[in-house]
Amino acid sequence: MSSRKTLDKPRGLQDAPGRLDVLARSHRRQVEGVLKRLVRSYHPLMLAELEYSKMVELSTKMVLVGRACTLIGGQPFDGRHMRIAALYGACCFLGDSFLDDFGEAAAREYLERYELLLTKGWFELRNDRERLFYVILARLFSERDMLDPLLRQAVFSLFLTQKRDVELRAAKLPTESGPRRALLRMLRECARDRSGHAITLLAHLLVPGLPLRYASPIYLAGSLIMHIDDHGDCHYDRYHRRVTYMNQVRDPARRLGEIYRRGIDRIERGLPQSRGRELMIAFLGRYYHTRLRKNRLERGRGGMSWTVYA
Amino acid sequence: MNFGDSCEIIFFAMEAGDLVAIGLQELFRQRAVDSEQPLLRIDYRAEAAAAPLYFDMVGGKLHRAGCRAIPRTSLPALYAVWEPGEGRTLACTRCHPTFPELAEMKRDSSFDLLYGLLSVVDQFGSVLTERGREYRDSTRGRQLSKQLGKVLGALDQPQREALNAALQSLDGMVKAVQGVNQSLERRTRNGSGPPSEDQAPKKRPPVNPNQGA
Repeated sequence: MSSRKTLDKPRGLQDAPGRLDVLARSHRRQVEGVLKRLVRSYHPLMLAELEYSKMVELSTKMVLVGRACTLIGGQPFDGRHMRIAALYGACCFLGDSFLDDFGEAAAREYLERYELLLTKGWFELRNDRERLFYVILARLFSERDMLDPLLRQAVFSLFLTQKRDVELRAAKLPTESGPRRALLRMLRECARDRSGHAITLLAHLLVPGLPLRYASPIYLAGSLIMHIDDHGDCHYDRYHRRVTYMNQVRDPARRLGEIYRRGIDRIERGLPQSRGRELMIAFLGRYYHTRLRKNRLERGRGGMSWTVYA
Repeated sequence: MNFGDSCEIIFFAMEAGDLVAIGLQELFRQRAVDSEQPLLRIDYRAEAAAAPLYFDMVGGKLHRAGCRAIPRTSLPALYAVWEPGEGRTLACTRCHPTFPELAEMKRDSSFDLLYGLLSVVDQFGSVLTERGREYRDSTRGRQLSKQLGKVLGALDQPQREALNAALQSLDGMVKAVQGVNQSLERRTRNGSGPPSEDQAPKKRPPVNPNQGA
């Protein structure tokens, strides 16, 4: 997995071209089945917006990743898994929107209120968006024993990383090489942990008691998703003056290629042969290639790049 | 009953659950509950600090607490572990974590449950007090009161305080359920969704909304 040539075709898909697309189409319909009624009940205005399509798309990706994790954990992916993954995707989408879409002051205020939710259970609902978020969260929490230590740690670690991310993204990158390297390292670790904790939470919501030996490769898969995602959003983030590792590092496409290849090799070595591993690697390959393309297409468009990508 | 009906019933039950959850937060918004009293605590930092083992998600190694082989960069990715299960094969070769009997390491969840119950009871209570007052004035209540008097007389001070705390509760819970009940009745009459009061901050508008998925 070291030559450029092998990157031309996403790994894991060679034997089953189009299978990922078929699966994604089927899951997209199921995700709509879970979310549409909830959105109609609690935030009906959202249905008329492009944002709803983005939420369905993110949830569909979450279902694909969740399906891979469930199969890696040795369980069949059933309707309940589907529902949990779809709710989780919507929850992440709405949570991220509070952090990304309403400005820095609103992001910081949300983090304070979310901390109160995680430490005391109280969350003041001020509008339909927050009501939808809270209902989805409540339904998700009611699916599993949320007092399970691992789930609690994943939820809170994800929150702490989001908090760190909000602090770091407004940072100015120093010109001196020493401090610059230190900040780049912090940004990279933050991206790693943000999606690492998120996928850990998803995996353990889907497969309670998932063996520890799968934890690290799954965490790595999450980190990879974040780096790929940040590269895809590179121009949009720069336009909104958000600092990420992928929009600050020199020659980001080459750097992402290195991270991707090393990550896929470690995931292959860390997980036993299974349909779950195959799906995870196929998903990561597809995601990597589409986000490389997105980055190229959106170069120079900046704030015009608020797009739904399958 | 056909499948569609059962789906409707499940959805209706889930909606009722949603409304109870929203109703509880509405009490918080109205400052009708003591928000210093936790409803649910997800934050696990206090418990995690006491864990005997930690798993490094980045390095994939299981360490003893305080092991010097834990990389500094892995600190935000450490998970407290109480039951390593098959994780023994992932043990750090420097600190060589041992695996005490699981029974010793398991968290005692019976106390968690008890405190969870008490916290809910503690939080929602004054309605019970009122109901109790009404009941005590009834004939049956007066009979029970005599018997209770004997029992209460035998309680020591901490026991009395615990009982008092328990009786100062369930108020909010009952109010939330009443609110849900009224809301469901309204919805049944009107055939509409839950009330909406949008105070959302202005969202940064999507600049290029004409691109499809």
